[in-house]
Amino acid sequence: MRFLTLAGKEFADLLAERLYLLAFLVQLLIVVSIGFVAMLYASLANPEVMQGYIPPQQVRIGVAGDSSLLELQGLRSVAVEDASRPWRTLRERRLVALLVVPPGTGGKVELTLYIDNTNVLSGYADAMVSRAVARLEEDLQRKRISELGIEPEAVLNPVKLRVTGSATQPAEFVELFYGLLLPFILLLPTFLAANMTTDAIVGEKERRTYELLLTAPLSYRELVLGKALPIAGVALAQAALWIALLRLRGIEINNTALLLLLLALLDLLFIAAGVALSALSDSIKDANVGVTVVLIFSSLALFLPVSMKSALQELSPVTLMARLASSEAVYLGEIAPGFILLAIAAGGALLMGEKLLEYRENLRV
Amino acid sequence: MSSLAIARRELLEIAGNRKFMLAFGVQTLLLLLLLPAFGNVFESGNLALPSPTLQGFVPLGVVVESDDCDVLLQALEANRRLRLYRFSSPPVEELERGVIAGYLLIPESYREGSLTQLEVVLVLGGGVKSSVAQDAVEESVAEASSRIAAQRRSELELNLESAVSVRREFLRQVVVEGAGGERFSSFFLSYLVPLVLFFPVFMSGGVVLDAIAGERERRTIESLLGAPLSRKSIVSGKFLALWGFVSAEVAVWLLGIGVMGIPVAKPVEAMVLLAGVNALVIALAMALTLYSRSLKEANIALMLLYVPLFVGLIYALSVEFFSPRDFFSYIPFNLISRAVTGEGFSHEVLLQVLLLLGFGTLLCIATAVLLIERDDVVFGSRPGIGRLFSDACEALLGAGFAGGMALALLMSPLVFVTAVLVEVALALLYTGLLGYSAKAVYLTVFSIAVTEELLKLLPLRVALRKQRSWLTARASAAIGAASATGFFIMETLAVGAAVLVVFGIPLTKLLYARATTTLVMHTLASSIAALGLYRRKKLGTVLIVLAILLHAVFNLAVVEVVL
Amino acid sequence: MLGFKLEVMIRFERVTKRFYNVTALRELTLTIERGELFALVGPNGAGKTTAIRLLCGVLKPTSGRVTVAGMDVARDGVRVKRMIGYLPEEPSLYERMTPRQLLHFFASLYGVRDAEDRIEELLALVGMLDKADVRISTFSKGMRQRISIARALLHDPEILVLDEPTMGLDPLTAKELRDFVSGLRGKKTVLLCTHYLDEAEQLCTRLGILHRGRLVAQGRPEELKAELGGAGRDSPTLEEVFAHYTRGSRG
Repeated sequence: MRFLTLAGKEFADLLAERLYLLAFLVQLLIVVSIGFVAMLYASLANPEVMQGYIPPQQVRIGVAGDSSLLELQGLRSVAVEDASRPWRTLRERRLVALLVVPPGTGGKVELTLYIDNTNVLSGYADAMVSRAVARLEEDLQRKRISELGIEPEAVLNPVKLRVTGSATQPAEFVELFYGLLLPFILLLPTFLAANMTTDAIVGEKERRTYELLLTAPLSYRELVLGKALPIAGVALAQAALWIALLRLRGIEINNTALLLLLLALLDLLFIAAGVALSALSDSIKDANVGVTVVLIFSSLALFLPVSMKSALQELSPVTLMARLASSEAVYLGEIAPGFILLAIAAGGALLMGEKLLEYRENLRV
Repeated sequence: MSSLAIARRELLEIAGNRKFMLAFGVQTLLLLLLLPAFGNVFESGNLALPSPTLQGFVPLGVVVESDDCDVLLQALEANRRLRLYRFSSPPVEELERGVIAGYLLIPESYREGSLTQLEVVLVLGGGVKSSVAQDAVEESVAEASSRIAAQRRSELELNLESAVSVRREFLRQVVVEGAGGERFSSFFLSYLVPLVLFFPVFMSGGVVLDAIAGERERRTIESLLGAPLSRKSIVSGKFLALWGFVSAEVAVWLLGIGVMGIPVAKPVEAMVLLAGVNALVIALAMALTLYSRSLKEANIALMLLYVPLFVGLIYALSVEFFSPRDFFSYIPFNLISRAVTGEGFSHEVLLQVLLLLGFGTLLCIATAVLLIERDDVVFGSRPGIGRLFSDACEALLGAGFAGGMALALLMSPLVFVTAVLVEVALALLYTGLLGYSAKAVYLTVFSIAVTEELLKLLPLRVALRKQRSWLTARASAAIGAASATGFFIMETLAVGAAVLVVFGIPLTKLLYARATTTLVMHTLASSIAALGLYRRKKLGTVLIVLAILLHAVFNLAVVEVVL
Repeated sequence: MLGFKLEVMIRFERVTKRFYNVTALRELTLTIERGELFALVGPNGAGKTTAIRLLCGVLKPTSGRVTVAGMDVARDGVRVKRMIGYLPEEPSLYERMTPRQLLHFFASLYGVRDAEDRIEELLALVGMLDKADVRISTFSKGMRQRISIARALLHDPEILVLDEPTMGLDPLTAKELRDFVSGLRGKKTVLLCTHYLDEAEQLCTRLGILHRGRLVAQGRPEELKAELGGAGRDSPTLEEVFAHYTRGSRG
């Protein structure tokens, strides 16, 4: 198997390249800090999560007018006398928000809430006020309904949900992590593989050793395989390492074998893209530009928050990744179509790349 | 002017390179297509980003025992996060296996047509998706609940107008109206638009590489050097071309953004600032590329420049969005964000920032020129940093007394950073061994004195090694003082920034306080230590020890006051 | 005549190669027999390197056929390549490796048996035994050429293709190389591309002149000279023959 010899040399070349070592370290940094980032986002998106980290006393809300109207429980409500210059008061009294309760009784009450939304805590304050208002509303309505002799809950809140079992991680964190961050992390080595491939082929062209390889008794297929194998291997090993690292940090990742299979197929697909680009490029510079474009398009296709036809979305490798990692078990029949499609795409792309390489045969004339 | 001739040639080369032009065109097209899409997604000002990968994320079992639950079922089916599986009996085994995240039991007693309270039960598994399951089900249940509530209310002919309403007003515009009446969230404007405007700079790496390292590799630089132009003009010519190219790209993008109706409050100021930042980054990239030995090394060097820069950019923009302070607007990234949103933008700050950027750019270009004048840089066998440093020292010291003091000042950042690293390490060591005790504090304080005094002597040591004729006792003391001043400046910059942000003490007050105390101490101690180093022998050692003691006593006094 | 079986080793049948808008070779028809040393000469850009690349299977002809020992290069590329040892104009080698590592790599690719012994033999032959474990990146052009030769001979190929082998070498090394190539006559089939007419005349059994992609003359040196002018002392030099056939061009 001659291509194994080539693969051996290619592997040694990869390891010797300092740039890849740097890329490895950068990925490591990203993986390690990702947990923190996810938590941060979750707390920003859902003020409730922040509750655990910030003592409510830090959230100062000013109230002008009758403060007894609302039970602003657990918040430092500061009485404010003059509400004629709300923004100034906010700044001077260092308030997160200012609630103005107009005087008068009966009829409709319109409250005005001035929010300093440059303050990170403002979302939390807003949520607290909204909740208090809702509670007040409910109380008023409850009174009216029971006056009519009807069970108030049946009209106000007809469907009640009872939950058994408890949740472990906050939902925003889970969604962000498994939906976006984990696929991103796992795809980093794959994205790198495209670059490695173009470097491997176009680099040889530039160094004139490509011609030498072509005179050796090696078919184009063996050439492509010999270069693809070590690259795919390295990319897969990195992904496996990141999974192990994340697990070490206590993050649950399931179905590792299937995940790695999926990534292996994706690696082959991106490597095939790299081969095709190598056939079309005359220099490393051109190849890199090409790779950048491919990567941008891929990222957009995979991560763009645009509603796609659901059927198509089911087949997307990123969706599969999110599901495989987060579910303890999966129905194989559901994930199989995506895998099969990917396998066909990868195989086809490799074949096309190889043919393109053979056809273009461009060398420095 | 030969610089312009070179600049023109470079520009023509870039323009003639079809691949570059293609990349540039593709990027611009992508930008024009994507930006509006993203703008609308963030319109609500809410950060919830629906990722397409989350479709059907939650596998939920549903056990339907009732026959009057259409509203609830509809709500569940419409929820994109859920993937429903119908079971005829509670799927305990599937839940155990983890194929479903939980199941919802709709009991027989659940009748939407009735006027009683309805209850459904959600049983969650132990998997990681249980919270999302709960969230999604709660969402659907709430929706069903409100629909049924409305139904029931109309049935009972109840008129429940809300008695209380809340009107919200935001300090910072959450949503901004564009020219065509579209709405853009402030997150989009203050974060994404500036981010996008920086892309050309980050993608300029390839062009810089080609212009310098590429030419070296292709050996065409030899013909350029043989031509009747100064090496300086080669650098300035290339810089002008690269800067012009990138800035032109940014200008086109800015125009495009404006054309698409996205409101940029101060486009001219933004453009000027962007051009300033571009200039600095490109100058820096040029210097780094010149110093690199090969194309590969240059690649790595540029990566080391761009990645932290990009991370810094994101971080700065985040800070600007979530908790902006006027002090932070001195960071160019933040200032550009303000130029886009129009809030809190100050022209004074703009001028100061431009000055700083210009100064930085000139410094980098000067470095690049110094590098290109060296044959060993241009023709390979690139000199190491040590060699360059040594040569620079020689040059400065050769300029006499003033050069010596300049050297001391220029070395102070290096001295300062080293000192901080050593001090932190020692502090950790002491607290590790002795815990948070008074002993550890005193030891640390003393070590700080020792470390700083010894390190501040570094410039003098370099000067003494080179043996200059003008190096007298007085000169040594002056160099010591200069070193101390440099150190003081570094310390003030570092500490001052922190103090300003945390305690809000204005810079001027702080400077005054420090100048009258710390600066005096530093210069005094360093002068004595410098004399000590100059004298050598026993008297010298005594003087150095004296300086250290002086520093230590001062530090201790400060500690006593603070504690 | 040399008493071995006359057999056609290399045949170009009306081979044309076009690159986009440039025609590098036009209807090249050429036969090289076993044991011959055929010298291909011509100005720059005449198409010599293209012809070599077509022979080695690096490029495919636009029209026509190249056969080696009866096998079509385009179809049986892998088998053909095993028979050919190629010495390119630029000794491009893997800088990161040592000669020994490089030779091991190619030995493995070519399926050479008893690779260890063969490598030692060749290193000794080219006089690079003492540098066998030093990185190639430190070598001079002459040293690289030696390694390149060792590599070309590694699998004991029937056919040797040499592209400007003595270009850029110091006179001593160049002479060594020429003597070596001369010794191959009769034992191997050699295609030699060169700029140096004296080298061509000294070494070859037959000679071909390539001009603007066309083979404008071929035959033994004496034959070509005789065709053009008188015999004996009036016989033209090879330079004159060359100039005659490449008239109207500036290489």
